[in-house]
Amino acid sequence: MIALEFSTFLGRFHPLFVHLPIGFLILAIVLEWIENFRKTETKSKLIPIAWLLGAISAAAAAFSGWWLGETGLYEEDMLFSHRWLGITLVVFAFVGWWLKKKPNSYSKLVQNGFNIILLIMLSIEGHKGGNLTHGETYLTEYAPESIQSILGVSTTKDSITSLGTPDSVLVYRDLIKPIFDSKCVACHNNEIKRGGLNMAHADSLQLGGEGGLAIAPGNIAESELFRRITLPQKSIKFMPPTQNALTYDEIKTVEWWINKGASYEDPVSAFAVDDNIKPVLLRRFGIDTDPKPWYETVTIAAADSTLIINLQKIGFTVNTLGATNNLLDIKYSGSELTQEKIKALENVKDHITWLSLAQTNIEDDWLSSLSGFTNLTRLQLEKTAVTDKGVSHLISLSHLEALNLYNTNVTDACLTSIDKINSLKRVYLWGTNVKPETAKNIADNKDDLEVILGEG
Amino acid sequence: MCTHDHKKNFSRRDFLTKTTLGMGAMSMASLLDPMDLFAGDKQKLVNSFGSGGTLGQPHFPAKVKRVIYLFQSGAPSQLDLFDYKPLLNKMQGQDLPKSVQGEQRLTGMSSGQATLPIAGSVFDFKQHGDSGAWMSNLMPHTSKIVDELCFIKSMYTEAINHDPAVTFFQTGSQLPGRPSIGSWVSYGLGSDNKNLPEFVVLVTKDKFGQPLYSRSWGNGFLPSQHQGVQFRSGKDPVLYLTNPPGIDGKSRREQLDHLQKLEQLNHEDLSDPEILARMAQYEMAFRMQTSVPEIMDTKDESDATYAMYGEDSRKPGTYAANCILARRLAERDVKFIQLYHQGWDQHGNLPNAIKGQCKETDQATAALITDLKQRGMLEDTLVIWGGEFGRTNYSQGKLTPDNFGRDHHPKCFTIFMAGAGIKKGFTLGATDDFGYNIAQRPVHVHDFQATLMHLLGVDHERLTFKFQGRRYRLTDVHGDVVKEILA
Repeated sequence: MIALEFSTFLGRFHPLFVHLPIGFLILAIVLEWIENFRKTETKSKLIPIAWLLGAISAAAAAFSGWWLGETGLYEEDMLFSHRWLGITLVVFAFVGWWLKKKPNSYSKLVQNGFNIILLIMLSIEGHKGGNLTHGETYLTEYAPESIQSILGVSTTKDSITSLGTPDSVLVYRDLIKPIFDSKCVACHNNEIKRGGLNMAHADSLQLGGEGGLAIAPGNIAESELFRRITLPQKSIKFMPPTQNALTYDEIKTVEWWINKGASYEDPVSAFAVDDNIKPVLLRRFGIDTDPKPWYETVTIAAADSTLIINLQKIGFTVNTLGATNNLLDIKYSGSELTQEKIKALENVKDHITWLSLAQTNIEDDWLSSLSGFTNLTRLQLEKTAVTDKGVSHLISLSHLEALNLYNTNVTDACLTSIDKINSLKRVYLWGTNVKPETAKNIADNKDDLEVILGEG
Repeated sequence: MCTHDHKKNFSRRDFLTKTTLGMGAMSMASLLDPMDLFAGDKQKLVNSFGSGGTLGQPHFPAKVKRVIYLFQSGAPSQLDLFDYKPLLNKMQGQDLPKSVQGEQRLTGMSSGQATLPIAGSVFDFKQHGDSGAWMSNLMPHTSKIVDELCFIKSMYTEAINHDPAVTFFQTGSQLPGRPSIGSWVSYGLGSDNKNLPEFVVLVTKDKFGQPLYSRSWGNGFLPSQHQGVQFRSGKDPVLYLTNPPGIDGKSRREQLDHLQKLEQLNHEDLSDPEILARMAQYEMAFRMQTSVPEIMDTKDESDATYAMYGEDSRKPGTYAANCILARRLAERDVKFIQLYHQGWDQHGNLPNAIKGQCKETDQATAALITDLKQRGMLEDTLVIWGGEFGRTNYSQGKLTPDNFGRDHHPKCFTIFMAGAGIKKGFTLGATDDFGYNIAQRPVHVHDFQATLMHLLGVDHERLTFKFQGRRYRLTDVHGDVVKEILA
């Protein structure tokens, strides 16, 4: 066994030698056919010499090619056929030399048949070699679309695939395994286990390889796989060696998966999503890990149109949230509000998500109608005479996120009610009798609640 | 005379296609759903929703119901305000390396210079707030509210001179003639207040520099009631709105009623949709005779408010006064309010000039955002601050220790936003150490426009208008929503 460096040195002559047999053999065959075409009486003695040169240079190419293949920089299954077809070609070239030395001993059919077989082998072999070096898409990447479609080449470029929601996407199955499949499994599978590592299955991956654990859950420093994919690309140990390195986003995804325990079953929602991985998940996989606002998660049939028209008649401005969302955004824009009008809202209580009664003559007691509005997320009561009593009617609103009480008559006492609205995220209390100290107190005690008091 | 509505005058060809295909479609529809053919309530409902915009209802939930766009015309220097580049101070006076400049074209104003001396900022930069956003000491008030803001430091544009760049930002095309953002919004979403226009423009008075053209708030080929209406300071906020001397409201109303009848006849005859637009505008003007004075009369604003926006805010026509007006318009549900403040074009004497600009704008900008927040209006209002491009990292003209100028730079600049639907205390994108090229997450002007429309509930690819044989949209054939900044 010669040293790896020296065999690699020999191997690198492969691209140099490999073009010689192609030239010699094609030249020999073309010359023979020209002579046939011209019906030359005596066959040229140079043709067998061209065959011999072709055979010898093919042997040299095969020899150097063998060592180039041993460097492990090529995908195994493609390499296998290229290697053995090449060796067969060497044998065929010598046979050809022997055949052509006696042009008259064999029929034209044998001679030409042999030529054609050799040409076909030569083309396939050359093409396979090109694919190994430049990648399978090199030749057709910039072909006109019509030619690509004839050849059946898929033209899909690397695009963002939108996978779905965080609880339906499994991190290993949907994010990690596709990366491994495209970048690693060609050389780390059931048949070829380079370095003793098989990455085709979750079980075999957990066994690791000769270098120890490929994946050490929760510890990227101990994970040989992570070390190899992040080495300098010049390093002989850098993986994958096929000039098909993992992208930044792929490395970040693998890092996140290992750091968070390398689970093989859990969905994205079970993983801690920090700010570093969030944009990667969004950009690379189209997974939005930010919680959706409540109104986007509700599916509800459209409200009865006659009810809506009636509401519009008594002074409410009614809009749906959008063409794809049947929840309602309602604002009172008439002149005089009455309790009957508020009661009319109860008919569409499950549909109302944004409600503005700002700058109206709303009275505390009327707000009791709102207590069953399960999907209400934003309520505007600013610039009204609402007091603490009115706010106490709102404690049963289970999805209220924003409550505007700016310029109302509420006092510190309303904070007890506000404290009971668990879903509340923002409450506006500027221009009320609520004292800054008490407001600060409640904001400190209640997670996620922002109390906006304003200046002056 | 050239909008597609004009085709309501059927030609022989239209008649033949519509009757043949139309009859087919009708029989098909009746086969599929005979009850639906003479659409009853369902159809009525679609029409009754929305605020009179073409879309009827937004494509998806609109996190933003109104926009206040504080346009800083002339291109503020991002390198002296937000984009902190200490390397420039280290390399002060050295020639900008060719490798950094790359293929970037320069304007005729500095392309002839023998050297392009790198000019570091003369202002002190500090990080502010929990978000740690970098700000220079030029904007002390805005620095205090950085945790409300979302910065995009990797904006870029294609235009290199003011007018094409402003036109590009406001209409999506460098060539004049397309509708502005506010007009598209008005056309698509309609109005929430029938007494005021959907799109109002306020320009700081007595500012000079690069001219502003009204096409920046023009309606282009959209029906003309969608153009921005400029409110001025002084006796006549909207020109020609008041009745002529000796004409009272009653006779004005009478006159309009008769005019309506005449115009109606005219329309029946010609079918020109611009006749309808003109009638709508006459009616709007009539309603504005009461609504506009009410808006412009700021007597009911408290002293605390004036103190917050700065003393300038008592002088009508200043940026600060316009910020108060913008808030008043937003309170009355005007959909798109656009301020223009000129004078940021500092080719020379930058350190002094930019101080003046910041003094005029910083306090009021910060006050407007704070004021909207305390009133709960940031729940559904978006504020945008930005110019049309950035400024170079090298000095135009002579570089001295305390004086220099910066030329136009379209390759990178900073804008910020605050309010509904976007992340707070967040910075997207970054430039390289020279502040010359974008290093991370480039955001094109069309991406910005797509994002703005998205926040308003509009799919920018689906709000179109057919004109001269093809369907136009704000973002032409470009633009991707910048999802990273959405909250």
